Amino acid sequence: MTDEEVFKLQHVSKEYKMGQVSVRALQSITCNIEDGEMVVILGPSGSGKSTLLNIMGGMDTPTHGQVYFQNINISTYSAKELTLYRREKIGFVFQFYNLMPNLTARENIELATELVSNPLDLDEILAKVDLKDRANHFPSQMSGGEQQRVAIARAIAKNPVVLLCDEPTGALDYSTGIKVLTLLQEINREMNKTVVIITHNQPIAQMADRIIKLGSGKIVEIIDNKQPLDPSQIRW
Amino acid sequence: MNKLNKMLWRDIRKSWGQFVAAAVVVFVGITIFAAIYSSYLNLKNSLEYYYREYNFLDYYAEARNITPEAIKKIKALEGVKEAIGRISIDVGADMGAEKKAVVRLISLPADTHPSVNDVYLLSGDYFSSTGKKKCLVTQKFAEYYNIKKGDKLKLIINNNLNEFEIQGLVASPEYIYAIRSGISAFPSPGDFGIVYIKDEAFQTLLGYRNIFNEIHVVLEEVDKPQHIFNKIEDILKPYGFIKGIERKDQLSNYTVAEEIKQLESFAFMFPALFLFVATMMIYIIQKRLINYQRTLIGTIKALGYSNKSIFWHYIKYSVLVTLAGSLPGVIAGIYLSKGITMEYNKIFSIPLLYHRIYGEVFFVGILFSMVFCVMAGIQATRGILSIQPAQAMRPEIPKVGKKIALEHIKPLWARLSFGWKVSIRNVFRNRQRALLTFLGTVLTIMFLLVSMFFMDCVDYIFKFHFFEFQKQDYKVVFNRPVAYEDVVELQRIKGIKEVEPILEVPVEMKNGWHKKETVLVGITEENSLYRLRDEELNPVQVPTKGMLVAEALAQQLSVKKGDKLTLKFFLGNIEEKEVQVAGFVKQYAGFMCYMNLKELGVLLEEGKFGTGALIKVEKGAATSVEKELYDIPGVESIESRNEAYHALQEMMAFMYIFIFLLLIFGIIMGVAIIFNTTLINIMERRRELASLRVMGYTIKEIEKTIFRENALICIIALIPGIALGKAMSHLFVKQFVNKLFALEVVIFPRTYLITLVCVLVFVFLAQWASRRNIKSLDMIEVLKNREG
Ligand SMILES: Nc1ncnc2c1ncn2[C@@H]1O[C@H](COP(=O)(O)OP(=O)(O)OP(=O)(O)O)[C@@H](O)[C@H]1O
Ligand SMILES: [Mg+2]
Repeated sequence: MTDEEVFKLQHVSKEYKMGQVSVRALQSITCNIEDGEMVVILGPSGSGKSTLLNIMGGMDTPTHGQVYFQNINISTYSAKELTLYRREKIGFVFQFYNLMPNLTARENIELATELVSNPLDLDEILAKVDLKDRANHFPSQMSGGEQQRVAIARAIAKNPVVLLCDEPTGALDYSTGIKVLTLLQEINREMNKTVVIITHNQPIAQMADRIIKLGSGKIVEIIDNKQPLDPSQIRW
Repeated sequence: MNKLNKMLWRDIRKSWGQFVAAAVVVFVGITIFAAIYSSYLNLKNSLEYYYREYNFLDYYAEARNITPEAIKKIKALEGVKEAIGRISIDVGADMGAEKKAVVRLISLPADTHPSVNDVYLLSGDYFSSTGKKKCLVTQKFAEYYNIKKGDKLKLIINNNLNEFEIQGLVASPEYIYAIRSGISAFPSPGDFGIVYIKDEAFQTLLGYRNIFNEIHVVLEEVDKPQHIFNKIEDILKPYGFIKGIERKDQLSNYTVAEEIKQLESFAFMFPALFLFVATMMIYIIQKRLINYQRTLIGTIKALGYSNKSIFWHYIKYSVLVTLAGSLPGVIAGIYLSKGITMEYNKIFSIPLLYHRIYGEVFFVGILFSMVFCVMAGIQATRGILSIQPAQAMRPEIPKVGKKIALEHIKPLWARLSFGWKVSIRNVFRNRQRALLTFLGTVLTIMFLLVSMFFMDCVDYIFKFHFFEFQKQDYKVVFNRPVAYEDVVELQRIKGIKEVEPILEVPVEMKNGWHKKETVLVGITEENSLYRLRDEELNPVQVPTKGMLVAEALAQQLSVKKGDKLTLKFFLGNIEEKEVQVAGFVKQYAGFMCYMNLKELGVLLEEGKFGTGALIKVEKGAATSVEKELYDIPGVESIESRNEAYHALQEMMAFMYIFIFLLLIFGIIMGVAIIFNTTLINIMERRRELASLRVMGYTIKEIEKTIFRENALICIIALIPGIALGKAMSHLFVKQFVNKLFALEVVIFPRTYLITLVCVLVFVFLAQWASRRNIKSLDMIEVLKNREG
């Protein structure tokens, strides 16, 4: 175990019980994610991607196995500890943005920054996601791509250790998607944040340092990508 | 402002109609609460203050000849602070303008105010030792006959006419509510007045020499005064002790205390209804909001907000609704209570009645509403704690459209129009949403019924008493018993159609340890002017043997048909007698007993005689008969049934104002509930309605669907609403029944009709008010935004 590792998963399983039937969403997942890495988790629908991400992000707990975050076992955390963990270490980005419809772009970001003691500078982030002039717009006044950029700004503004993105481009068209991915890469490279992106879209994996392929709740393959592509070079 | 608060604020603003509707219901409830509760405190505290300042009695006793020594002995008893002797007799008074009434003549010391039951001078001066033939009169009575200071009052004492000059108008803590006896049904201020004259005048008039027939006592602060009363009664035994009455049983005080007691319970009962509705509304609003914002809650949890802060964020909504309603409610209520409190002086006579602002009203009012509403909020919000953040992010499973039961009744279902089919399906598939409208309507119907039933009840009972039971135009009372034949003689007066002698005897009825004072009325067997009715309202006549007892009185004495009651007479030296209970009669106030006049004469060891007569006059002869009766010297009082009825109606104006207010509040609540449910309905279905609009439905068509749904639910709610309303009415009636009154739940058919019409009007109003929300439905925005 090195200091480099942000996540260390050991034999993580997740079962959902629904009456008589039980769904095994994850089966003995073991893998590491290193500090500053850009990781893409790739897999078909229902393969357990979201489940895995949620467990890493402290939104859910594994049925079996251990999850270490910076060498601390978070799988034994209480709900309260998980809340603090999410607050301080994790930034989430969702497929459908999940912005508060009642709050403007700026306020949506403030909703996150109010939680932590050392947030990033709001204006800098707004500039970073290129939404300075949209700061006072409500989500319903923005396009999907713009909304997703606000969501990314909201996730990063807390200055978390990791950014966990569940299908961040799933609801976007090609060129808007590329823009969002470029932004994520910049966050990874310039701000030195570990970024985990979930997708079922194969080409996106080319921008990753490492690709974890999932299938039916198991790791099918882990690929090291020596030459990650710039998102602008990706085509789908 | 922190961002969660900002969200809350904007949520409220976005659906302010809902917020306002719920707050209005809280407002109305708390306004009523504060109005009644503050009036209650005003009345209670003013009364206590008045009693204290004017040394209202703790106890009084009647005895035939109380001497100054007896009073001295009683005054010397431990625990007795003050004791005074006085003379008190009821005499006839000539009120001028061809009116006669009964007044209570009470002696007062000259120069110094009495140390018990002091009088409050509203005008004029207290007695000095010099003036002769002066009197003080209670103000309510004087007002009724329009007599003033300086006027002469003619009293018939021992068959002699005596004139007294009124030197002032007064009020007394002893006669805040002036009724002659507990059996005076529905008294009016003109029936009975109090006239005070100087001690010495009394002594000479009646030939009393240092003798009193009443003693009034004020005690020191003692815990259990019963033993003092016993001692007083022992002392009075040799002086012809008749009866002793404690403050709590003193008629005026009993009546006022009952009123105060009722006020206190009403202060909570009526508002509880409103708050119950508000609770339901808040619960449903919150529950909906949370379901609706499930993903948002998940997202906030993902951001790292704790359960506690999210929980509190939602609870704040109910706290705000409650405060938005209860704060102005308390203020409005206190403001209203000033009027209500002062209105009490129309019935009562409390010169020291004051209005004050009590912190208690604020405190209790806000706590009262908080307990109800915040509980609802907590109950609705509890679910948040168990929302798994990961779970919340997944879309909820959509409900499958199952067939509803009605669809299986093919012949009926096939006949419905497409629009109705859609509406009916919507109602039955969205049970929870329908339940809200349903409950709201049930509660509205209940409330309308409860407020209107009071009117029906009072109306019915007055009509029963004045028109069903009594058929005479006048009742005359003689100043002494008169031979039967002489009473019948009245027939000779021109214009009199019928005369029926009556014999009224005050008695104490005893059954074991149960005791009640009442009047035994002797009526002739062919009597037709008192239409007695049994418990089932069938006409009955007095039997030749035994007596008929007012139903409520029988209950208080706990006697059954066939039981024997022991009768103690207050007149003469007649021994106690036993009389059998032959049956019961219906009576709502003025509980008396009835028997054959001749039999009663025998019971009293006398012949056939009467103390008064019921008189029916020819059409148009009323004024001339009244004048003739007035001129008969032996006539002590003449009661006109019509006048009594109208005087009463005037007094009841107070109650009608109260009911009117309740009704207004009920209507506000009804509109608020139905408006709110309509709004929720629209909000919840924005996507569905927007889709309909996209498909090309007109706004009118959409409105129609919603209206049909509401109307359908209202009709279903009718029966349970009425049932609940009746049940509630029974609960309220319980508050009214006491020693002097019986009430029954009476609801006229027209009341049901009015209720139905009101509810339908509310549906229309709500629909109309929510039009804007349907119109402003932005199709594109609704369909684009996942979170709505
Ligand atoms: N709450 C739950 N109850 C029961 N089964 C669940 C639950 N959540 C997830 N599952 C099941 O677990 C499996 C993995 O789900 P998961 O959402 O992780 O897949 P995914 O890879 O993210 O798919 P997608 O690409 O469609 O988002 C699926 O079979 C899913 O049905
Ligand atoms: Mg997924």
